[in-house]
This record gives sequence, C-alpha cells and structure tokens, in this order.
Amino acid sequence: MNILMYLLALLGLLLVVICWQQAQKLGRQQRTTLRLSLVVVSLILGWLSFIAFQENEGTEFAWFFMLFHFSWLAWILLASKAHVKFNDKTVKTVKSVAAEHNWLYKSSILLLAGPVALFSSILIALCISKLFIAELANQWVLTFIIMPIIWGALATWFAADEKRLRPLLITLLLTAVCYGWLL
Amino acid sequence: MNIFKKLTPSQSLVKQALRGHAWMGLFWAALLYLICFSGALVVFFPEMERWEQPLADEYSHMDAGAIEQSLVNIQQQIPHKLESLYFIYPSEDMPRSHVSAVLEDKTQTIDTEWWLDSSGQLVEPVSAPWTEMITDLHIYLHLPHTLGIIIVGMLGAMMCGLMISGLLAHPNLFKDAFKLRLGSNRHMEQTDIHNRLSVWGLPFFFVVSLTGAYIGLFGVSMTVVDWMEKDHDSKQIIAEVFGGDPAINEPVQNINMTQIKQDLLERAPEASPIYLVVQKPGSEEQYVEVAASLPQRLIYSEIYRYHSDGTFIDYQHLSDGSVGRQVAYSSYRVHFGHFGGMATKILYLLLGLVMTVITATGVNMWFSKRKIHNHWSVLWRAFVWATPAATALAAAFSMVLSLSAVVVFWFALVVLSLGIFAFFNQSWKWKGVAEQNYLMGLKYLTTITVVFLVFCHGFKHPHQPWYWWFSLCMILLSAMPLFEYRKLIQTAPKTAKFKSPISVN
Repeated sequence: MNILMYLLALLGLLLVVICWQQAQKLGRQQRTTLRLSLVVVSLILGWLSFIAFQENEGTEFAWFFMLFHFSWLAWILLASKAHVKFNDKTVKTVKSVAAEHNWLYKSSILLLAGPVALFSSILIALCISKLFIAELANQWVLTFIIMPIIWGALATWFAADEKRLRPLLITLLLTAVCYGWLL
Repeated sequence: MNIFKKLTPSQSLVKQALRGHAWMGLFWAALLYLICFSGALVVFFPEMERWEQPLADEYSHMDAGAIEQSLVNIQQQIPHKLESLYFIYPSEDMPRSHVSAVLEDKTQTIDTEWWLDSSGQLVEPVSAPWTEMITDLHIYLHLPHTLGIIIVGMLGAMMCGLMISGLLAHPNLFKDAFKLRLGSNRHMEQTDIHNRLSVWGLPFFFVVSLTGAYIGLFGVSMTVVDWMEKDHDSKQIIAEVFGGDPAINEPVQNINMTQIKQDLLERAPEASPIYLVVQKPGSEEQYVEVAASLPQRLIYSEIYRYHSDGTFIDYQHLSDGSVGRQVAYSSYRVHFGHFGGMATKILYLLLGLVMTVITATGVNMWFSKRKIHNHWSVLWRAFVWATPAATALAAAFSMVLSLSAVVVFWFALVVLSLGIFAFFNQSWKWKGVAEQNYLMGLKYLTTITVVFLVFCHGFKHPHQPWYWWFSLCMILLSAMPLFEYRKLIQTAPKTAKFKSPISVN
C-alpha cells in the first residue's frame, strides 16, 4: 500500500467536504454561479480521490473507502467549526407524560411490524427478484439483500401511520398479489 | 423552483416518519446499543483472541510438512468420527496457526481447537472466553444460536427501517449538514449530535446493517425457499449461490500438502491461503479445500479443491462466478471491516462506536424533548455506561478468576444499571451523591478494571511487546469517555456566565 497515495486521496475527500460547506454558505447569499462551480470542483476532487484509492487498493475497495472515509472527515470539519455555548438555565423536568396509545395498540403494532411485515417482505422481495432477474443465484442474492430493507420500511410504516388499517391493507394486498404470482 | 424544496417531504410525512422512527428506535434501543457496542469491538476479534491467550511461539509461516503433521496430530488427539478438519494459516492479525475439528457427534464436549507451534505440534487448546463472549453477544445476543441470529438479523432490518424513517423525518438534511450547536440546550445538542453523526455516517451504517441483516436472516430466507420454491430446495439454492461440493470416492490416503502448496502457487501465485479444510477426513469421500484471499478483492476467499494426493479438482468460482455469488461472498469482509489493513479496522471501530453514540443520543433526544426525568431516563443513562463497565468486568473476572464471562457480563450489566436508582430516588439517595457522579463512577470503573486486568494478565507475559502495545490501546479506548471533548471545541464568543455545560452521555 502506498501511504502517500492514500493520504492524498483522503486530502481530496476532505477538500470535497470543504467545497460542499463553502457552497452551502454561499447558497445563503444567493451566489449561484460560484456555488455551482464549487460543486463541480468537488466532483472533480472526488473523482481524483477515487482514482488514488483505486490505484492503491483496487476498484472494489476504492468504492468503500470513498463511502466510509467521508464520515470522519466531515465530523472533524464540523467539530472544528462548532462552538460551545455555555448555559446556566435550569430545565424544569417532569416525571412522566401521558401515553399516546394503550398497550393493546402497541402490541398490535409489534405483531404487524414483526411477523406480518417479515412474511410480506420475503414474498415481495422474492417477487421483485423473479420479475427482474433471470439467473437463479442472482435472483436469490437480490432477495436476501432487499428483504431486510423492505421489512425495515414496512415495520417503520406500521409504527408511523396513525391509521393502522392503511399500511395493513396495502401490505396484505401486496402480499396476496405476490403470493398469487409466485404460485 | 429550488430542487431541494421539491425534494423536501411534506410536514405530515415528516411528522409520521418521526413518530415511526421514535417508536422503532425506543423499542429496540437497548438491543441495538449492545449489538453496536459489541460489533465495534468485534472488528478486532483476532487481536483480542491473541491478547487474551498470548503464546511464546509466534510465527508468520508454516511449511507444508508441519501442516501435514498438525492434521495427523489433531486426529490422534480426537479419536472420534470427524465431519471436517480445519487448519488456519498464520496471518498478520494472528501470527500463529491453529487446527480445529468438527465432530459428527455434536453432543461431545471435548477440546476440538488447538494452537500449534511452528513444527505443527499441538500446544494448548484455544481458550478465549471473553472474546467468545463479545462475539456471541454480537452474533447471538447470548441466546440459543438459531433464535439469536434471527433476532440480530431482524435488528439489522430494523436499522434499515430506522435509516429510511430518519431520512424522511429530516427535511433540513442539506441545510443543517454543517450545523452543530453544543451546550445551549440539551435537546438541541443531542439532536444535532444524533443527526450530524447519522447523516454523514449513513453509507457505513446502511452497508453494515444490510450485511448484518443478510447474514442473520439467511436461515429464515432458506426456510421460505423450501416452502415457496417448487423446483429447488434450500440445499440446491445454497449450492447455486455458493457453489456445490464435489463427489469423491477413492481409497483413503494421507494428505500431500507439498503437492497442494506447489499447485496453488502455480495456479494462483497472488492468492494467500487463509484456511484449509479436510472434508470427511479418514473416509473415501475425503478431499481438501484451500481458501485463499485474492489481492484487491472483497470476496472473503476463492476456494481451491484438491484430492488427498494433491491433484487439483476445481475451484468454486467465488471470484469469477455470477455477480450474486461474488456479492454474497463479499458480505463478511464488508461487515467486519477485514479489508484494507489496520487503517480500515480502526475506521470500523470508530464508526461502530459512533453507532453506539447515535443509539444513545436518539433515546436521550426522546427524553429531553419531553423534559422527562424519571426511572426510565436514568436507567437508560446507567445502561449506556454500565455496558462498557460490564464488558471490562467480564474480561477481568474471566481472565483472572476464570469465572464465566457471560454470567459476569449480564450480572454486572443488571446490577450496575439498576445501581443508579440508589442515587435517583430521594428517599434512598446515598450520601447525597448525584446521578452524574454515579455515571462518572461507571466510566472510571471501566478504565480502572482495564488497567487492573492488563497488569494482572500481563504478569504471565512480560516479554511480549505486542501484548503491551495492544494493552495500551485498550486502556486508551476505555479512558476515552473520561476526556472532556468540549475543551477541544471553541467557546461561543458571547459568554455571560461560565457554568459547567450540560453533560452528554
């Protein structure tokens, strides 16, 4: 591994984040041209960083380095610009707040977001995979990958929607369609 | 019209997404916290295992004759019928090799895993109960394995859901991307920390949650295969995705490691072997698999298969098979950060710890928004700091006193978490000590336990520089929460009165 290349790639990523921050600042002043040019510069820098990572570690690793190294560089930039505002106000606290819903409602959400959403997500994922992918191995790997996303999304929808019936009906409809199609 | 305005979700959608996000987050917070915390540490599991059981003889290479000898030795040591026999090559993370046997009769409880010296002799059984405790916590939550891995997989799926709802609940994602307001208001501070860490770390969190869910829910998916697929069963699907086994029927003979090593060197000179498996040892179906990593590839390994005499059979096409096969076989390295060397491992540790901060601040936000200060809010704060303390105590008690790491961990976690009530309830309040001091005490307890452990455990291994380097890193890691990070950040220019800022926990 060439450490210099690695460091250059990181520097490029840091500059990308700085460009975005400056572009955002300018946005408040409505300086669109300068803002757009910063975005273009950031794209070029990002591409150069990718090339540097790629030269060093190969294409597969380079993608993940690009995605993961952004985080800590942005956090460092954020921390360097942050200020601590000391406050001596005392906050009045309460011991409890009124519960939004009873335990029956909460248990029903748990049931819907758990086994019901899991079952539906598997069928929906399988249906999508079979619809778009021809090869058996790819079909199943896509099923394994999209199933957790669909499950998580359905579970959150069940927990989010005030009208419990809406997500339930749509989920059941989708499940029935997928089941029918798969059979 | 501004494109960002067009993309901004409606107020009602934001409200609903926030509600779903809060519900899901609160319900699973404690388990998510344990998974994220243990996951951050598990990145270093080979190093932890090496640290927990230091050996005098460490080496980076083992010759073919010594490998052959080690396979003979383990079969002599374990006089039972074996399903397979593993030899794990020395590596940069673990500069020593070990052998392990998988028994056909799973009810037998004997030592099946042994460290080896460089000549292939069995040195001592592999025993790293603390490392095992942390890896089991991350993979199974210490539950029965089938149930545990499904629950952990489900938590991965829930995290995917939390990310989707978190994005929808955050209409000012771009506008607030560089905003961090510390100190002025506890709710605002916790919200900013939670949002900035999660938004910028999103790619990592998404990839890790998804791969975790995929690994954990594989078994559930396979059950559905058997139920839904008319043309294939789960075994056929596994063979299709990962490649099937060769059918061998030949007289039993000793394994010719020299020939296998030579062939692999000619066939794939850049491949570096990770482990070797003798399938169905001592039977007519015996054959050898060599798993070797390939440079700049995310797949865990390519698997090369040989007859016992060293004749090449085939390879599993994990590196050049279908896209699905390559993606499926890349999930391990992507999930555990075992690619790109030590720098990636440190990055994964950092990002993993950030996930624990996001979980903790998420729950803190819910309490501080409602200005709730009750048993649940203090219990949560105690749980957050009792977890590292319980992990350190489990290490100390298991390594120094040989107590069960799992029992000590859960006992300490429950006792230390509930201990906060002694400082919360006015009628019990012990010597007027505030909750904050109890939480600070838990942080000190973690560091002191690690220091104590390092020296007690280290007395047995005083001449191993690696042991002391890793120990130093562990001490620094355990002392991280004691540091006041605000001192690194500038104070806002208009400060009327100076008072200790609100604590972040």
